Amino acid sequence: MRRALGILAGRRVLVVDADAARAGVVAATLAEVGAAIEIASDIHQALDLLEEADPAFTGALIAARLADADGVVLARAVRTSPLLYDLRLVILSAGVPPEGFDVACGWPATAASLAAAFLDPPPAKDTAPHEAAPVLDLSELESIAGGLTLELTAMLRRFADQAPKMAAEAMAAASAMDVTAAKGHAHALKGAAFSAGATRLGQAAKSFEAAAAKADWITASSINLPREASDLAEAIRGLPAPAS
Amino acid sequence: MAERSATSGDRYKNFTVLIVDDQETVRDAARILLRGLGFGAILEAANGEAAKEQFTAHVPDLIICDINMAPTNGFAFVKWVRQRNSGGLRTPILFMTSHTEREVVMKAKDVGIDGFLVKPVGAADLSVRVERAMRGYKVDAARPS
Repeated sequence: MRRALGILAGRRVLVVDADAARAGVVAATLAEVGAAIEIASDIHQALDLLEEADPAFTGALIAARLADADGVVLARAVRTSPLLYDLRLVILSAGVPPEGFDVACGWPATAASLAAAFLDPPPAKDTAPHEAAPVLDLSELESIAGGLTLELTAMLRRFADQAPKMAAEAMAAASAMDVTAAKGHAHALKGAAFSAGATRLGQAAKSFEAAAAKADWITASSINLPREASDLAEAIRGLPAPAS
Repeated sequence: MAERSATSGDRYKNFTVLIVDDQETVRDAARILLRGLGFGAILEAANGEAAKEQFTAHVPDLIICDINMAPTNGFAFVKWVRQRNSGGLRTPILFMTSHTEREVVMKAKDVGIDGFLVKPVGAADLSVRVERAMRGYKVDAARPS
């Protein structure tokens, strides 16, 4: 597919890449199809430019790896910035766009593929079933805490005690077809579960919350939150003793 | 609910952060992450009313706050803090939430927050948002602890 010259005229795009040579090539290619381009190499420089731009940027092309972090961190920061809510985010990488990105554009990129990334509607996102997620993923918390510490273990045990009650409250609210209560209980369970690294329970609660919000009680009742909470408790009981 | 960490040599070591969330597990995880960033003192509160007491007693340098809490939610607490910020001191405040709908984001901007942390909060997100929220605050000054 050949894109006409100037098809991105009027659009302002920020290229964010730690690789200056590649950023230059991408910027020149985007300029060929009419976009006005600026370049940043790290997250803070990118956020400064994006949040202070006048006129605002219409999109950003972000490399998977930046000077100070990876592109997903920048995408999350953009998605939660009050000033950047509608920014089109394209990751310079082949495959399925990660969380926060609208589309992916493989490298090497052509003028046509770059233009398409900023013009074509984003593909529908896959929604993986919660069963695919790990019951417990402590990699991030362990890396920060310095291993499976007493504090981390105590946190997990407290949550293992609380989770079954929270799951039961959500299920009871769904049985009563109480949208507000079912959403609220599932929302609380989701936040706590994800914070504790209980990824599968968090995903299940997220799906439950979405179903409850639509009063879709058939879907909600098919999500067995108590079983997920029980599986989590078992996984926590099976953890090795913490380092003292 | 205050603790001091033994972390030293970090840019935030003389600073106090207040975590406000009604979920104990969320506060626990946030505390572990914030200690990893090197905050010298970490305070906690389970709702906006308890947070007001902590704010009055300790005047934290950074507040990380949930939105949905009873009896005082995050919006009301932030308004209360902003009314008490004076003399050029503006406490950096981050909302920690999974509500990223446009209307919530815009309302948060109106009440004067300095950024969002989307749950589940990761160490990288936290580092970026804390650094940006505290830019212009007295990060490089030695605050008496």
